[in-house]
Amino acid sequence: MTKKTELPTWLQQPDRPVQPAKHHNFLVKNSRRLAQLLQQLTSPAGIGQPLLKTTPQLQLVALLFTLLLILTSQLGWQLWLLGLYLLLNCLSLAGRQLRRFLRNWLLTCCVALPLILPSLWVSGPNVLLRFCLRTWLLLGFTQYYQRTVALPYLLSGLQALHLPNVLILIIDIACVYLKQLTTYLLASLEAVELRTIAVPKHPYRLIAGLFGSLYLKSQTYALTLNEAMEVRGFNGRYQPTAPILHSRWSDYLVLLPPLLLAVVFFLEK
Amino acid sequence: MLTLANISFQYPSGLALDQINLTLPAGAFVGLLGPNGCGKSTLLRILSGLAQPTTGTYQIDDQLITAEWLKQPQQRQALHQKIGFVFQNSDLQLFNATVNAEVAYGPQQLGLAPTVVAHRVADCLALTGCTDLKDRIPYQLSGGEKKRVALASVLALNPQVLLLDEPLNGLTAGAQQEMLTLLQQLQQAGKTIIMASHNFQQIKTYAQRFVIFNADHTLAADLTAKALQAQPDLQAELALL
Ligand SMILES: Nc1ncnc2c1ncn2[C@@H]1O[C@H](COP(=O)(O)OP(=O)(O)OP(=O)(O)O)[C@@H](O)[C@H]1O
Ligand SMILES: [Mg+2]
Repeated sequence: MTKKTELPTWLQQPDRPVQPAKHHNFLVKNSRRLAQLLQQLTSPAGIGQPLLKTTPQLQLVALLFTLLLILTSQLGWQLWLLGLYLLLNCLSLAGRQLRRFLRNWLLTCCVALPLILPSLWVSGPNVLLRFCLRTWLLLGFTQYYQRTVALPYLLSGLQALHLPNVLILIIDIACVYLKQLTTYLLASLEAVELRTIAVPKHPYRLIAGLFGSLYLKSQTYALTLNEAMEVRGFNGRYQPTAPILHSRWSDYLVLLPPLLLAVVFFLEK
Repeated sequence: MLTLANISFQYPSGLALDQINLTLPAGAFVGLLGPNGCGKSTLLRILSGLAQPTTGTYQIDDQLITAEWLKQPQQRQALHQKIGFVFQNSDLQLFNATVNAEVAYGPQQLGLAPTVVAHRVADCLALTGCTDLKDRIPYQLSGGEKKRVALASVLALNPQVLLLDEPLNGLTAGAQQEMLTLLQQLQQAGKTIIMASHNFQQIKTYAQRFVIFNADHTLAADLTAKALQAQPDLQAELALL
């Protein structure tokens, strides 16, 4: 600080209160969404209970198996059975989780639709319908998995399945990184909120600016993270640290429904 | 006047504030002191309306500030106009493309005429010694420069209450003196200054009131500068914070 100045007169008297805008909730809404994401990234609290309580690795195996079943199912009744299984799973979600699940599922389904539609011209309505159903089921099961497994547990699941450390490292860093950025964005939104008295004149310009600065900051952050790892002796070797949860026999029950379905499908063939 | 009654704040990881009772009169210069992690920043977040206490009540003049009350955009925005907050981490606070735009953001929000905005920006930059930085990108500034720009950008809103979370960190001793003098001038103009700091030696001649926390997140003392002068032991303890 170099210059000393007398206080200007406007600083010596309070401003008249501005008439704030009525509809200005986008900051608050976005902050709430980010806070939810952060919770999902950091802690299992706020995550739904799966239908059958189990370890993350078995849940992952069950998911992959179910996805495989969906991909190989050709007949209507098979998809219908898989749909019932998804429905059964969803019933285990508490009200708020269920609403969030449904909203996200519908959203992803809508996004997927334009990608699927061209097959109407290529192969006709019957194929299109089956294609749609399968895509929606795939999205539904993945969404359900996302709703019931917190990210830290995903890591421990991958580790228990003896996946290559490099893969776990990549996901681990992505998690750390995402967490930091979410925290960062959340705090920035708070800063914006504190100085946004009236409705922002150009909310989209504001958002663009925010993401611009977030991009610059995240770039710096990534480089700093890398340097920080390097100065502490990181040489490419990575030892995963997530605690492994060992599966008991009752945890294997989660594999039963997709196995049963597979048997039924096979016998009917 | 800001009144906190039996305020506690719980993070998922643990308690940050435990049963705090405080009354901060309008127009005061208050220093918040205490060891790392005792809850100073959390208290400032509550005062700014960014966080709500887990238990207890917070009142500004006669208005109870609750999550329900803050849900109304008009009321929340009125609160933000009245109370300015300089974050501990100024990196988080700067989100515009240039320093000039950063400082202008607040007054533009107030709906002031462009000439008035320009005037305010120039004043705030001059007061904080940032005039030379006005075309720079905020995120590329040094730590101390960011601190000053953050103060300028909050000052431009002309808040009646200024919350500052360790505003002296990263400033040279001379710049610290200048910032404190500026804050004192603002206080003499009728503003309330509430400042968390680790720098007791620097602020002891400026603050009129000291709120001191224990490491266990409880209130250790709330006393005037005069009362503190009579306690050399406590002063010696604070100097180590
Ligand atoms: N976002 C958070 N999530 C969980 N715990 C937190 C969070 N922020 C702060 N804490 C914890 O709450 C307590 C109070 O933190 P706070 O930041 O208010 O302390 P402080 O007095 O400002 O410390 P410092 O002097 O280091 O800035 C600390 O124990 C801290 O670890
Ligand atoms: Mg702090």
